[in-house]
Order: sequence, then C-alpha cells, then structure tokens
Amino acid sequence: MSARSSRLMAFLVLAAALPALAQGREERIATAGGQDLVNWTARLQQLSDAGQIRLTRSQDDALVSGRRHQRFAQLHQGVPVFGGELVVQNSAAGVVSVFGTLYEGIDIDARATLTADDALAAVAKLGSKPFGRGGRPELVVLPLDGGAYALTYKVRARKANSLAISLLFFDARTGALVKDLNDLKSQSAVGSGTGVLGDRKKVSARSSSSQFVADDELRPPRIATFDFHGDLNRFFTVADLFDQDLARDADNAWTDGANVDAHTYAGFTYDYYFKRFGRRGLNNNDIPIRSVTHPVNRDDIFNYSNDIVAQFYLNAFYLGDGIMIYGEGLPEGYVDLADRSWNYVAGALDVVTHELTHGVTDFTSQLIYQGESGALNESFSDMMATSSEFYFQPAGNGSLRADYLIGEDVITPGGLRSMARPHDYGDPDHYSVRFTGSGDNGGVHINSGIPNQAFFLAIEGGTNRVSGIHVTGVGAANREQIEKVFYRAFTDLLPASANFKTARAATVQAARDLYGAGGAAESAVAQAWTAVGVN
Amino acid sequence: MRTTTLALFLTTLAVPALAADDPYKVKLLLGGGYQLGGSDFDQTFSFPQYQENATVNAAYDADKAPGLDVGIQWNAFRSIGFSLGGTLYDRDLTGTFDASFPHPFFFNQPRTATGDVTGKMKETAGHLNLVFFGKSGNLDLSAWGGVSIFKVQADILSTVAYSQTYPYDTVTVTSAPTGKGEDTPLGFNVGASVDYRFSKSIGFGIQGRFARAKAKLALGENPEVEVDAGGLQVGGGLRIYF
Repeated sequence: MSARSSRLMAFLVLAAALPALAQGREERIATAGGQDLVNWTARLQQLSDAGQIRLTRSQDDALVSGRRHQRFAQLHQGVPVFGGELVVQNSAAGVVSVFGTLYEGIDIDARATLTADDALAAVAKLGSKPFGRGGRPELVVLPLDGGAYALTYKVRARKANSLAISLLFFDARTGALVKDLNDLKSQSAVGSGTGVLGDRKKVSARSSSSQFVADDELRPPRIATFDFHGDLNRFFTVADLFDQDLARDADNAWTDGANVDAHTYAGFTYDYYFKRFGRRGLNNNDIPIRSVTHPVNRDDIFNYSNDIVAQFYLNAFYLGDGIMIYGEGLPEGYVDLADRSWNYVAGALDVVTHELTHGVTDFTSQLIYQGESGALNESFSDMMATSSEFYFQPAGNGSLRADYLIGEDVITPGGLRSMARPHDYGDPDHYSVRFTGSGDNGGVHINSGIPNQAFFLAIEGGTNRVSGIHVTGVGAANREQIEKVFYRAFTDLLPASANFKTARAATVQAARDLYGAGGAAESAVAQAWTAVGVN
Repeated sequence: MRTTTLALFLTTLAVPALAADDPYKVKLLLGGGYQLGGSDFDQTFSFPQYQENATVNAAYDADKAPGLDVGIQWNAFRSIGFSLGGTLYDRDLTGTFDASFPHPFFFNQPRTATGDVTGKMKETAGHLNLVFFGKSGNLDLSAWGGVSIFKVQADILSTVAYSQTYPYDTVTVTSAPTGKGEDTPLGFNVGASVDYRFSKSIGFGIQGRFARAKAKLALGENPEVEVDAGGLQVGGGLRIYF
C-alpha cells in the first residue's frame, strides 16, 4: 500500500472511530499528605500558567505559624466556574493540603452575547431586585446536572415582597433563567406533620441548626408557632415571643398535633383571606402571625384555678398584634360541664380562623366587644371560620368536614355553636328572642346566633324557626358572593359601634356594590335579615 | 432497466461472480447519506419535592437528517470480504414536555406546566461487516451484514426549572435545561450497494443500509431513556479501488 493509501486508511479509521467527546465531570480533591502533594505543586503551577485557576485570596494562618492559605478560583477561558475552587494550605516546605473541586470537560464558548444590563433586566422581569454585594451580574460557567455547562450571569436577588434571596443564573446568550438557587442561609423547608385528628398535612418550616422550626418562610408574612411546653410562668414573664421558643422538630416529620395544626391552619387562614378577598393578612399589610401552643400541660390542670382552666385549657384567644393562644383541652376521659370532651383547640380550622378574624376586625371596623357590636364581632369571626372550612375542606358531617358548626372538630360532641340551628345550642336565632342580660359582655357569643343565622340563610336558604319566613339563598355554589358581601360590610363599611340594624344596611349595600342592586345576592341578604327579625 | 439490474444483482448474490477483469482488493467508500424516518422516544423522570414527587414527561422527535458515510472494504476471498464503516448523523431534536410539581402547602394538588425542548441527537456508528460482492460489467454489487456499535448522544431534559409566587397555585417554567444523555449500544446493520466504476481506481456508488440498536441514554440520576438508534439510511459517494 502506498504512503497516500496509508494516510487515507488512517483518515477512514479515524472517521469511523467513535468520538470520545469531552464529558463534563467534577473532580473532587481532598489531598493531605503523601506523594500526591508533590504532584500538586507542579499541577497548581500548570493550571495557573494555563489560566485555568486564579488566586483570589491568600492569608497567613492565624493558628499555626508558618502556614498560609490560598484560594484559587477555577476559570474557563477567563470566566470563573461556579463551585470550581481549590483551597491550598502551604508551609515553607511546600503544599500541606489541597481541597476543592475542579470541573473538567468544559467545552463551551465563554463569550457572552448578552450584557450585564440584560441580566439585570431579566432579574426585574422576574419581579426580583439585585441584592447586596452579589447583586452585580457576574459572568460564570455554571455546571449543570448531567455534566453539561452553561455560560450564565449570576445575580444575587431578593424576590418582591419576600425575604427569599436567590442566586439567579441567566443564560448569557438567551437570557433564560437556568437556575434559581435559594441563597437565604436559613433554608425554608416543607415538612409533613400529623394533626390533632391524625390527618397528614404539609408543614412550612425552616431549617435551623440541624433542626426544623415552625417558621413559615413561604407565605408573605412571617407565620410562626411557639411551643411553651406547659411553662405558663415563662409565658407570663417573657417580654415577647423569641425564636428559642419556636416549635421544633428534629426530622421535619412533625408529630405534635397542636403545633402542626396551629401552624398550618394559621397559614390556611392567611391563604383564605388572600385568595378570597385579596387581603394580605390581619392588617392587610402582612403583620406577622404568631401562634402559641401548649401554654399549659394537660396533666397540670388540677393545679390551676378555674380562671386559668377557662383561659388556657378550654379556650383559644387572640391576644392582639397577630398573636394567638391555643388552649390545651382536657385530659382524656374528662369532660366540661356541658359533658363535652376538649381536644387541643388548635386542631380545628374554624377555631383558628375564628380567632385570627378577631385580628382582622381589630385592624378594620374595631367592633366594640359589647352588646350588639360585640355579637357582630363574634359573628363575623364565625362567618369567616365556617367559610375557610368550606374553602379547604369537603362539605359534610364529622371531623375535617365543612359545616356550619363552630369548633366541632375538637369540642365533641357538636362543638360550641351552630349557625344553621343556633337554638339547638341555646343561642337565639331571631332578634325577638335575643339575650338582653349583662353576662357574656351583653351576649356577644350568645347573640351572635342571630347574624350567624342570617349568614347561613343568605347562602343555603331555608326557613327561620321563629319567624317562619322563608329565604331563597344564593346556593352553596355561590357562597363566595355572600362571603364577599359580609366581608366587605364588616371590614369596610361598619363602624365600631354598629348594631344589627346597621349590619343589615351595610351588608345590603355591599351586595349592591358587588353584585348590583336588586340582584340575587342583595335579595338573599335582605330576606335573611328579615327572617331573623332585623329590619 | 431497473429490473435487469436487480436481477443481475440477485444472481450475483446467489452465485458469486467470476474474477473480474480488474480485480481489486481494497475499496474505499467516501460519501454521504440520509437517514430516512424520524425517531420518537419518551422520557420520564421524577424528583422529590415538598414531600411528594415532581414528575416530568417528555416526548421527543428526532428529524430526518443528512450525514457522513464512509468505509473501507477488503476483499479477502473470491467473492467474500470484510468492511469497516462509519456513519455520523447529527439530527435536530424537538420535543414537548408536561410537568407536575407538588404544591408546597397541600398534598395532592399539583401544579402543571408544559413546554418545548430542542436540541440535537447525534448518532455515530462503526460497522464491521461480512460482505458478499460481485461484478457485472462496470457495476460492482455488494451486500453486507454485521455488527454495529453506536455512540448515541441526545440533548434530553435534565430538569425543569420554574418560578412561583405566593399563593403558589401555578408555576411558570423558566428554563428546561438539557444535558447530553448518551450510550454506546451494540446493534446490527444490513445493506447493499451498487457501484459504477469509471476507471480502474475510481467509481461512484449508491447504497442502502438498515441499522438498529437500542440505546439507553443516561443523564445524571434520571432514569435511562430508551431510544431506537439508526434506521433506514440511503446514500452514495466516491469509490476508490486499490
């Protein structure tokens, strides 16, 4: 075969051979001692001469004299490789240790077609803003999953209306977001938990010092749950709620039902207000929502006065400033004077929404907690409580079902009140039979049965027990209309001293505002108030 | 004419031809080809997220494409030889995906998203064949079959990135980065060619080949993606005889 033929043969064999393309690979380096270090001295020089690494920091060892620490950034065509770094410890005798990661097989062109300004525009397009020192776009080679690489602009940015901080990587040729790396040093973490009633749900938590704390970083406001582990003295004496008292779990699989439900239901309540009404929390400006669980121990119940039992066992209350306290319930086998068992009070969505709605009222109408305005205050909490149940739970009877009972999931049997049948719980369902005594702050809980019944009838329709007047409700499918009507009236229209008659006028007005005069919503609302004797 | 040629060719296969006037020992084949027919494959992967699993289902379609087809044939015996060949096809890859991402707050309320993915699918193959050849006038006729080794590389999804804002009921896909999934499977090929010799050392030929291998593309920790590599390829090119 001639020389020319030999060359042809060589070409063909090469052409037919399978190409061994460079494949991205990361080399993790951990070398301390041994012959490898001798090689590393030469390799570092080689890498440096080839422009593949660049010294970024060099400092003397503060603890071991004669040692020096150097950090080298990996470069590809002069562009830093994200995560590619060598940390070298030197002594007078040479290299002592090398730790780091080098990425191999980078075969991309490191020339960007977009500018740093383009990257900033891409950040803005996401609704984020550059944040801190890392907010200036930096061209980097980003190792991708699977061994590929992308030329990107790295920008540290903060998301709008959020504490979330990310390292955003935008393709330096197309501007597409390639990676969104959460850079908040405390990491939000979604865990799972078992509620008071044994139901499984997700828990929006935060990892902290190898534990998880009940501190929701995914919703716009801070929603945190504090577990006092039955230390009532501490609860009385602390000046504020501090992170050291945050409910916590070792593996993010939460098992304390009261903590799980207090935390998740506070989030659900925020969600309900946001999704239904566009409201951002209690003050419409994302005030933190903080819940306190286990202010007492169940087993200590016999050591406390009746006042403490009534307040911290058989109760839940809104303390103000977005702080909720959830009662512990009764020890198993014990019942209250009405022969009812009490589970952990935080275990009922309607209870949580009810109490948080007192916060909404505090920041809106500030209905005075006395007489009819107080009954309206309580009733509005019941209305929103039931509505959040219908928003998140399937309608029906029994636990974890949406109905018109209040607290029925944790206070058994039957809960505290019924909006459909107030009379069955000893509450008035018509203005003519209202409570007129001075107890219960002039009947704030008792007389809430009257507007509660109006709310129920406006949605579901039916006949009032006392008046016999039939109401044509908007129907369960349109319950959103009545929820919005009452929400609008109670947050935007009512004065602090409103009475039932004012509430009627305000809700009728709200129905006209939202759904037009003479519409089904207005008609249902007006009929409902008439049926309960409020004209 | 086509019928006559085909008859001659089949006869040649059945009964190897007598020694030609200008016998050759080695033939180089330099040419191109066209991969007929697309190649469809699917990809599914999932990853844990928010206490559930996010899933991505993608469907890809590799287009028809021209390519390189070269080889060398050694006529070891009277009408039997061996050949070593190589083909290279770089095909455009298009696809769509649908993804399902768990909601951060609720079980069983996934958010869904769809998108497109584009890239390349590169098939490089080496073929080692047993060749039956014959001659009819200026026509060289060959048929072959043998083993093939493929190197298949395809841009397949490595993940799907999305943005979300409270209340997180929807997601917006921000990028669908791909990585090179690859495999080097063994397969087979069969084919035939008809060459016309202009002179003692130069000719022109056309060939058809069917090659096939099952590739399992691996990318990161995602499950392997099964792809049918190869297919029907037709082409032609220069023949050099020694």
